[in-house]
Amino acid sequence: MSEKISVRQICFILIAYNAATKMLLYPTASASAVGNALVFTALFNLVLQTVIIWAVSFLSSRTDKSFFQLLENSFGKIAARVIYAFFALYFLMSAIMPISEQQLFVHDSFYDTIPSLTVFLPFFIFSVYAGVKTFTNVGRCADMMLPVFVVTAASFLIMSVGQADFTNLLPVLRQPFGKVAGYSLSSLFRFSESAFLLMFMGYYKYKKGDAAKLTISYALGGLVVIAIMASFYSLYGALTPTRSFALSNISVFFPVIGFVGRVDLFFIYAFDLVALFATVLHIQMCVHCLSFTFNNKMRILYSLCVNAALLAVIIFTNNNYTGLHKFIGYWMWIPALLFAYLIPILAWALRRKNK
Amino acid sequence: MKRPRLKRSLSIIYLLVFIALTFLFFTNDFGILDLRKTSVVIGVGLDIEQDDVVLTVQLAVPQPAENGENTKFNVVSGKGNSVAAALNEVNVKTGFYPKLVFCKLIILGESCFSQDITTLLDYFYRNEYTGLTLSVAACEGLASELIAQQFPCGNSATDVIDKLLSSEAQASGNVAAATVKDIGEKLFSQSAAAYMPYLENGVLDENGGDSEGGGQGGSGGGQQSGGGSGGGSQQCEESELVCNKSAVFSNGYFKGILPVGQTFALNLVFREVRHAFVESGEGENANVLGLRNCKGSIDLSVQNGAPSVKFKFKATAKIQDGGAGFSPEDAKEVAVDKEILKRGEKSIIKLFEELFESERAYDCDFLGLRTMLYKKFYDKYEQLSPDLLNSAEVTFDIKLKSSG
Repeated sequence: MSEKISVRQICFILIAYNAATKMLLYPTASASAVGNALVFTALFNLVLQTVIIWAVSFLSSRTDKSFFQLLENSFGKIAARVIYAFFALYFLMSAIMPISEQQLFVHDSFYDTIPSLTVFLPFFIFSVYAGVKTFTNVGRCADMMLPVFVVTAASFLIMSVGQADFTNLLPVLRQPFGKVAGYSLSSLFRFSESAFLLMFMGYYKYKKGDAAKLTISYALGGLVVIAIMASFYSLYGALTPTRSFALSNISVFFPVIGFVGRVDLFFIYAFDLVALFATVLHIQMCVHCLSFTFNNKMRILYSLCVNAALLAVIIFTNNNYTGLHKFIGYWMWIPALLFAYLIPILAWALRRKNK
Repeated sequence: MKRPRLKRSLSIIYLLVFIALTFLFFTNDFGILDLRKTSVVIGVGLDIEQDDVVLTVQLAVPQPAENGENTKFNVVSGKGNSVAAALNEVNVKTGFYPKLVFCKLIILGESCFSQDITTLLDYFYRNEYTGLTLSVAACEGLASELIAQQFPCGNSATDVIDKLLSSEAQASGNVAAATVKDIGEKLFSQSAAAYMPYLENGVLDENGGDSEGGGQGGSGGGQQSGGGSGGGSQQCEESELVCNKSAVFSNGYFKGILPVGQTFALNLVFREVRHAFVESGEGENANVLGLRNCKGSIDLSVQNGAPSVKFKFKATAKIQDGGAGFSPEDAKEVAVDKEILKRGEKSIIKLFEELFESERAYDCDFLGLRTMLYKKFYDKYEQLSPDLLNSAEVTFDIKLKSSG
């Protein structure tokens, strides 16, 4: 295969991109839904998805084949293409929430006086371009983004932990079980990186111990999210649901900001860059699947179509994001359960040896 | 064969993208603000007048700096059935919509005490601009009058109050500062009670003549209380503000004022006090102890089904002022006598006792005991919460150590 990605780069994706997409609206949404149990719902989802990540990465130790080749080997070319078409549809749907969150974040934090649709549209110019790129480029971007992620995430934690009152997380798990479990289920779509890993299969050379590296990387990224969520809730307590974005609110009580102004905005901009690359990864995956579905390397065409579809959704749901998020919160867990939980497990049943 | 055509169309696409990006770039304001055409809100005063909210904003108006004066302070009022409606009227009078990005203070006038303050602060909880970092204080009389007042050295009311609530002032334990976030967090907790500094205004001097800035001015109901050095011969009423008392609220409603000693005791428990003074003994035995390395807390425990509240405080003490006068021989003695320390401990216990009595008398859980019960003893919360303040046994663990 011409496009290659290294295990190191996938690890970086599982740390940085995994965390970046979960640090925009997810903390506030969780606080609204389950109060101070937000940490436990996230932890439960993280553990569940980490197990799936381990299963997929361990599968790579048993075969050099890509997921498409495994499907082709088991069900034939047509069936493999059909399954990839469904995966493309899944990645298209899974891109809606991160893009919508990005749009809201850009409007609320960067262009608060002119939160019009046009200020967000340049995103699609970038995403059309990025959509064309192969896994080799995806890996290089991850190499560049990890240091940015480490510095910014550490800054957010340093700027918030000192001011946080962690007793706000008490009492532990006193919300009704049904409420906590229900929210965990509905947020399955936020923890769905195993679908990416499935696509990376066969594009990296598995060495001994890589499954552990990938699994630990994913857990690490998730723990950063949990730390930020814990800090955010501890800082605002009952007021947490009133703050739209954890990122732009978590550091405002840092004493230095009172003297020198919002220096944290620098880190917020930098972090949003990581979130941008994490968001377009969904589009890149969708284009990747479409190129296999149609057995055609016209990636620019697929990228244009995918972005046009997403743009249509964003225009259609502009100023109606609550409805969109509610809809995704209600239904998106079903495709996520199928494509990021069940299929990765079922992939073990695919024929690994050539017919 | 098709490559040159693709190359040509790619160049056109790149050109179009470049034009689009250039267009977007030049529609930016580049962060440049025409200072002479703008002004920023630095403080807000809220009063209630016949069920309407009267919002008075203090505006800092940047001035050309040739004469050394670079900021003037205007005061503009707006009225409406809510804070947002009143702000809109300010917009009508000033020509700009105040976003409160630079606002650092909200003052609640005495008239607000009759209302649920959460309905007044609602705007600030919904507003993402402020970041909930604004300080909140209550004041006697009208907030609009306080915010429009001229203070020594031409300072704006907001600046003066900001200094009174500064971290330095908080470190001495004299002011129980609170932000919008603190108030909301406490009022929406199980205790549903909060405290904030209470400002009292004493007029120092009424001088005509050459005071700095000030006077009536502005348009559309605005007053000017200009700063800097070019004031001219305008009236200036100089005032002295103190805020060493606290106003306490329960379920959003005003409950009472904690006097100076109780405010100090409140700070010993909840704040990082770095340099405090406490009296030890009376008459000839009277000394003032300087306290360092203060560490205070309040602890709730449930033993055999009965709640118990323990005030804990420890610090190192040094005599700052002796009641028996100064002699070099006495001053040589570095270690503080145990008796003096004990008397100091008694003074602190008395302050804590009075504080807890106020909590009971106002039936206002500003110490946050119900929240503590909910967090630590969730299973007993329903049973003990209603009568917690009256049924709790109060104990003290106060230790003063000589700093010598």
